[in-house]
Amino acid sequence: MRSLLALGLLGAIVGAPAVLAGCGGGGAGRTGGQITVLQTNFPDYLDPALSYTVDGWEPLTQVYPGLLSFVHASGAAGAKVRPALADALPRISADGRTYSLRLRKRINFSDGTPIRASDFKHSIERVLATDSQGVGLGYTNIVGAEQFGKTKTGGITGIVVNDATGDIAIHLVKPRGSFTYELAIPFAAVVPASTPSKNQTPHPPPGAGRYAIKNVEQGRGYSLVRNAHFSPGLVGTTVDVAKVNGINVKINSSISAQVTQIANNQADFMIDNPTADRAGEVRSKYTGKRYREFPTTSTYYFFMNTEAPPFDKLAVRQAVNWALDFDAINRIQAGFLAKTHGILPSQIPGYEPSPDLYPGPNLQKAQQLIAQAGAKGAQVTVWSDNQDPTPQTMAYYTDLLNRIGLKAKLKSIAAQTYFATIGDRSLKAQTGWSNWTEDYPHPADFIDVLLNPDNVVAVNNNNLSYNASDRGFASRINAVAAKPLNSQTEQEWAALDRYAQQQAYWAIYGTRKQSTFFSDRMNFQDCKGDDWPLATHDWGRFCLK
Amino acid sequence: MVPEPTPQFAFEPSPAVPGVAATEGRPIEGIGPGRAAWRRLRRNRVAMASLAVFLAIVVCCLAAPLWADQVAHVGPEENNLTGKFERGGKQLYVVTPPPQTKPVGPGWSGRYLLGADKNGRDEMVRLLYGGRNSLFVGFTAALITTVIAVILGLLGGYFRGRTDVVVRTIFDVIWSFPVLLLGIALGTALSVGGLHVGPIDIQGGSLWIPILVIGIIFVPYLGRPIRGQVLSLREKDFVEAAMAQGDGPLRIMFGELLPNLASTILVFGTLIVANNILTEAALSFLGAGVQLPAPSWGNMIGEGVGLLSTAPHLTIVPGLAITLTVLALNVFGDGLRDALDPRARVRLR
Repeated sequence: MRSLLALGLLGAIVGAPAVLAGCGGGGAGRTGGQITVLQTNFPDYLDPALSYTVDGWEPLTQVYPGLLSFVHASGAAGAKVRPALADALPRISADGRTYSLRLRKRINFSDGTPIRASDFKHSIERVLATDSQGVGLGYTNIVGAEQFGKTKTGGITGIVVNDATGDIAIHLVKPRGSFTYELAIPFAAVVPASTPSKNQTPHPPPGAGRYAIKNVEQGRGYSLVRNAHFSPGLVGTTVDVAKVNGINVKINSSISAQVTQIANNQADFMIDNPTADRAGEVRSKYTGKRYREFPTTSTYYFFMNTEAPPFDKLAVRQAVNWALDFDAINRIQAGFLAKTHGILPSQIPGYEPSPDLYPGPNLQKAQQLIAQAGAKGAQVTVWSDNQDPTPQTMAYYTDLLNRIGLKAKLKSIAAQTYFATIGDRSLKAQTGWSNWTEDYPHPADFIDVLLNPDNVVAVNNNNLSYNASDRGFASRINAVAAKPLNSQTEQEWAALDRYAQQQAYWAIYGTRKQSTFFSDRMNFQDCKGDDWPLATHDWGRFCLK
Repeated sequence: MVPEPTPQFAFEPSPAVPGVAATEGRPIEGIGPGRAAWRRLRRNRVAMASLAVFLAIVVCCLAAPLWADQVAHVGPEENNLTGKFERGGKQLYVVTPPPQTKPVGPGWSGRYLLGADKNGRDEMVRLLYGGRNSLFVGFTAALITTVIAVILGLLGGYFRGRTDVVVRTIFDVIWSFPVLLLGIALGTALSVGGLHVGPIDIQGGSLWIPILVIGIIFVPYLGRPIRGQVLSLREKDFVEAAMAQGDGPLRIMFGELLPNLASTILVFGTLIVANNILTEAALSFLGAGVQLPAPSWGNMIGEGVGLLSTAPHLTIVPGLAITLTVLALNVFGDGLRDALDPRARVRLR
């Protein structure tokens, strides 16, 4: 998932000071009360089949569980997949192509309607029928899904359900090691089979979570209220998490005004980071009492197109890596970066704390490499979007490329069209900014999605290195991506990460940090509810003092 | 028949007549309208002070490379995020490290006299270079506006009929769009792909994009009054005389009519430059004008807005530069109008 506002989605996995189990509203912190949450933008959708932003996933994960779910906990514990509406984790066939699950007994939606196996089938079909961005996340690997996506008729033949027994069998076209994770994210959330296959944001369908969405006022706000018909069969499960009785969400486009409101206890929580000019003040006044920062599971980098000179030369790509100065970029980004040098963030399985291959900044070495590559004076267009702090970051990057001997100029375009533009292979965008924040904590979500040479396509590329000619790399990624995650495959992913660093496909400059800023009414010590892998902040664990 | 003698005039001008000196007892030398206007303009102290301010700004901006090389020792696009510099015997961060990450403010030192921006670039250097860009865009766009407006105005006013309908339609179409929205739409569209029409090949991000955009959107602003004036002038005797002599349309338009439009063009031109500087600032502020990292006063304000409370100099400094320049040009433009058309002031009274 890409983030234009540089919002860290799907937070960190390790390093949390306390792991909160969070089941049944248990743990420290009182239950009850109402809180006010501030968002800068109204969610892209309040529909689990369509939403693909942190603004959407933070509320939706409280409302719409799937067959499986991530544990409501901070750090590593929150990265574990557990049964939610299913009674157990899937049984995977020996060939890795069939997933078998069964629904729990006595489960229903928030309107009291019983949940049936066919509801799950319809929910996945809605993702394809609505041409959701979630389509790319493995669901087209279900037998018949590709065809259904084109025709929108006939259903997905690869999902076989039995409403009488609650049995569900999912048949895949080819083994996919990350599919269990893909069943635990909002796109695979279960909604009633009667839900139309179109955007339901004005009237979100019922879910089976602890909360239900009410009072939607497009562009202004909405509320999460306790689910009055919470399933008896889900009590005590990973779904059963809620402390406050109600969450009133208000949209306020001014982040600076949000900071003021939180500081003055007029609202209780804001999902975005404070603006650059308020960050210092908030840090100095509230850190440890009402404010903290944590690294998200994201990677921010400058891509270099290996199909476009001079970045077709390894030495040029390495030179850029040698020249980068993390401290410089971190100052532009108001201190909201954490240093990293690998493709995989430190929280993702497969991450290996290997030494940095390019421990810069070393301009002299970079200049030497450029000279050796015969690329001195080579024309480079640096692509940027126009949303702060990207233009400033890219102005730094452009200046840096000029200092190491290239002849760079900056090209800034609208943020809304940025990724579509640079993702057009025919444009041959040489270099620019990109980022990736996990959809789920699995190495395939980074290395397979962003660097697999087989994923170089004509338009809407996620693989901005355009390394289509690296066939050996493609074979290795495809082989490991088919296997389930274990200690062996984690090592294989780590090796692929090292290889990508050696090839200097990216110049990585860090991981985005996310903040938690509470009002004085909130229980900051016991109920931070942040650092949650699935959606950064877990509103179900928020509580009042 | 004896021809009547040519009358000899020898009068004493009234000292109250502006631009004409008192010459007791002897004939005076006539002066041209240009000199008379210049004399009137010189007497308008406010206008002359405005001109001086404006010229000072232009000279300062032209001297930008000198300041950058000799005083600041950095270029306008050179980042210095992790560096330090000396001010008042102390070593200061150009941009403080986290948790504050605040750029240094103005102070008495050659380097960072007006402080630094978010990227650690010298604000004074960027202000001067930004001024060059803003003024260049303002003047060049005004030139384009003037050339197109004069040609269209002359054609429409002289030929009338269908030609005039076409010219009026062009003006109406351009003015049917809100100026800023049209500028943003064109600027945004062209800043990505550039402009490639026949021999015209302008890359996206070039200064010529905002110049062309601004130059075109203000054509009716000047074109309409010129057309109106040409319609009126065309009925005058001197035009009919020229026609009777056999002069062609081109000669009449550019030889007879254009000189009579000079004062209108001059006055409007001055005001258009000021307008263009404001428009450029607005477009650049919105990201549709001068493209970063090249500085302009507008995009400097845009970059500074995010740090308004901790580094207000980033918005105040370029904002003041725009205010001062536009005010100077407008006041001077008013003075110029009064000088070129003294009756206008009388009529107003």
